[in-house]
Amino acid sequence: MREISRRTLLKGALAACLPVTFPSVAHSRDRNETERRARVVEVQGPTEHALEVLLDALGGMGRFVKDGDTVLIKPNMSFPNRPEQATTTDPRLVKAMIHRCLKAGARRVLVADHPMRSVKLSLDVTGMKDACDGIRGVHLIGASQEGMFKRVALPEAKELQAVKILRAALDADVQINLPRMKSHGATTVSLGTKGNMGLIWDRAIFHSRLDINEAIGDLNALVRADLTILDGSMVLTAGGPLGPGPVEKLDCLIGGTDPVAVDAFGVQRVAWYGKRVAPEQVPHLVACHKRGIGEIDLSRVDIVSRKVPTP
Amino acid sequence: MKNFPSTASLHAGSRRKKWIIQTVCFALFLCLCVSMHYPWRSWIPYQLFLDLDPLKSLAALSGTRQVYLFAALLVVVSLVWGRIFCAYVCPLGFCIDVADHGLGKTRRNPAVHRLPDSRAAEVVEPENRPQLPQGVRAAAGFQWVLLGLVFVGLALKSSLPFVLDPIGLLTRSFAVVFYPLGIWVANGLVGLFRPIAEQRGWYDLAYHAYLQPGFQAAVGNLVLLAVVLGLSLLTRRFWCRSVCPLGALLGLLGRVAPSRRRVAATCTTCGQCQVVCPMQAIGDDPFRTRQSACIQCKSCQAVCPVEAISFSLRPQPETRFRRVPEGLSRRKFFFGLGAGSMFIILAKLDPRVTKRTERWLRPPGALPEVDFLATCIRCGACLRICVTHTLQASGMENGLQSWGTPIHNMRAAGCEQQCDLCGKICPTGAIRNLPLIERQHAKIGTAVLVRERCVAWAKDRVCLLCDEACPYNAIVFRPVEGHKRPFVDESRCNGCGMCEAVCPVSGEAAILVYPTGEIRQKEGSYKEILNRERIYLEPKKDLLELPDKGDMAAIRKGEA
Repeated sequence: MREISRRTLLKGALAACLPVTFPSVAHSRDRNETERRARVVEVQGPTEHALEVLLDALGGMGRFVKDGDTVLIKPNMSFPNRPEQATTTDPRLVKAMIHRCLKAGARRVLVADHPMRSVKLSLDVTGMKDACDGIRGVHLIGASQEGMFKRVALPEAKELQAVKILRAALDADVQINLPRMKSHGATTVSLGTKGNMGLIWDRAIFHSRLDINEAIGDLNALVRADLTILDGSMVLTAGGPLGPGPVEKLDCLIGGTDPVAVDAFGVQRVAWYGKRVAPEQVPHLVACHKRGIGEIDLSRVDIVSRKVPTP
Repeated sequence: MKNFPSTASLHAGSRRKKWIIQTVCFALFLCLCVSMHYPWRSWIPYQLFLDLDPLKSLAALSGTRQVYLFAALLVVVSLVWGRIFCAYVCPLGFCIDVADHGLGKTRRNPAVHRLPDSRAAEVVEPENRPQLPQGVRAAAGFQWVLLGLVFVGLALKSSLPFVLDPIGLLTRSFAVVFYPLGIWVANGLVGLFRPIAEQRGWYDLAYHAYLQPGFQAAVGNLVLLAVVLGLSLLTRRFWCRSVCPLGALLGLLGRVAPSRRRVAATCTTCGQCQVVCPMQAIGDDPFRTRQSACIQCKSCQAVCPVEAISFSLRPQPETRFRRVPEGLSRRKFFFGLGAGSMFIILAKLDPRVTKRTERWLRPPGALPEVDFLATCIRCGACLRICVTHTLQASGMENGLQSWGTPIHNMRAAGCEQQCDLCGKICPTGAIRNLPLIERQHAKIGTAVLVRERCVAWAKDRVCLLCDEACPYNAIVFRPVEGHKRPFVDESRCNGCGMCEAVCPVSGEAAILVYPTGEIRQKEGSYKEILNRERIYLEPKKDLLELPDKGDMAAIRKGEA
């Protein structure tokens, strides 16, 4: 019998793990129905407790973060707005997630966004600086210079031929997206897939030169979060992305591994601009779905609802 | 004569002491300039040096009736010790001393012997005595004209002469010249180390960067500073002696100061003191001193071979103080004053100022334009501390009257609505120090949309950048000709300029902030005024057009 060296065994094992670590491969368009369905978990209750329950329902933090991993957390901290204005992610959620990542063995956690306004002011007012201060292994990154981004060519893309993406996002082993659920003037909603625009340098061309919806699709084909959790504690239902606008207290977290399914569920969860919106009415989600990034049809998604009693 | 302890070495020590004190003061000034950034720390006396400046306090007093008592300290010190501030504390004085040194003006004169053993009462030959160039002699007393012009300016409500206030000049030079250069170097260094830092996992370093400022008027300010320092080519401390209006004021006060250079009858008139005096304050007759020029550095005392010079508050026995008359006739003074006043008046009559013909936007909370131009001493601290660097120093393109004052460049950056630092740092109250909520209601202007340039109007594109950036929902979209098109809701615009900054067209934006509707007032609440004018900077619900529900089935079918 042929002997298998340790190296070959490890190689084989790694290859076998590939579809797990890069689920986009598994989610190719011509998948068959027998494949595992995407799961979206909605947990009602106070943020920190809700996060625990949500992660358990998704199979525990160990499924996402391995020992020695570099984790990228991408909250929304683009504007110097206070968290109760519901335009930036709740810093408590970010802090709880940081602790979960470190507990799961992460070597370092990078909390990164590309703020649209004064970086220092944004990190201060959103409360992110306080949330990350003094925790070992945590780096708060408010990207502000072109040198922090790396140009990546996208020959397959429909709109976005090349994009300058945050180097940290390319370095990270695990990417966790923690967007705030909010409305958006140009794209109706700003959830996980739209939130990834915080990882790139030149956003202005999305609005001017490119079709923003298709460009978001192209971008998400490149960066696909391993875990997306929508911060639905408070939702800005109109006047987004910067606000001010009406804030609805939804008091929930919505999470899952399929970014499109999570967004799709988030879209129909509240009324945006006073109207009910179906996921298929949100063009950038359709664009993501067409590229095989995730499932937009909620009838093909397992929905799990949990509730944490308010203490 | 005493042999021990050698007074010469003691005095050499005092010269070193002067350098140490000067360096410490300059370092402190520099630290304060560097520390002028967000976040505001109330324990830092950011404007320590300007607060000491009595001229600045006069400007503040004339504009806002605010009294800054700290400057009284310098007045008292000058009444007792003359221009000691110029020798030890003034940061520009330090820079000029360094420039003197760099230009070789402090090179030791072979006629002067500083070693104790060679302290023969050697007479400096007349050709080795300081020969002031003709221009320098002619300029004697020019500082009085400038000081006079400061007061003329105060009377005419123009702070233009404050451009030459030494502390303000240096603060402004730091802000618009050295600060951008420093950031450029710092960012360059971080960029250089970024690959290494990333590899090592030093993410805090790898993703560290400073916002790079840049100023339109940087070159003009650098030229002015170069001229001020370059004046030393004429003679040492020429600026301090013949130009500086603050030096003139302190010299005027110091004329009565009891601390003055007194010479004993033992003086051999060797002339060594005349050679070393940096201010040429000693007359052709070494018994005489020009008290208004003497900065009490005591260099003369240190070189005197017979120790005939003393500076104590109470006169030593058998010493005398005698004046050199001021080198400026009354006629010359008034002639100069008249000529200078013409500049001030003509600058004031500029239609850009009187008729406000330009699209100038002043920082939120700025006093009414007339008072603002009388009160702003153009120190540039607001430019330094502005978090977005929307504030720019006005250059000559906006006329002399406005030179050095802060003006918004909204195309470069908008005015951050969570920031109130320009009002906090302003040393004269030309920009009012307002609570954040009031400052947000201090309307800067109103945005105007240029439909011919706007891509949503002219090219039917889906562009909502201005709406996305607007902190007040003042951009509303209404369907016109089947397209969503932006409108400015003036009742919600406070002129912050965020829209103008992000507008994606090239060159001038398609949405421009004009000073229309700006609120400028010396006192009182801005919020009340805005609400009276039915302007509410509050959220309002928007309605958005969505794609038809019928598309849903098609989308599903298309991908199935």
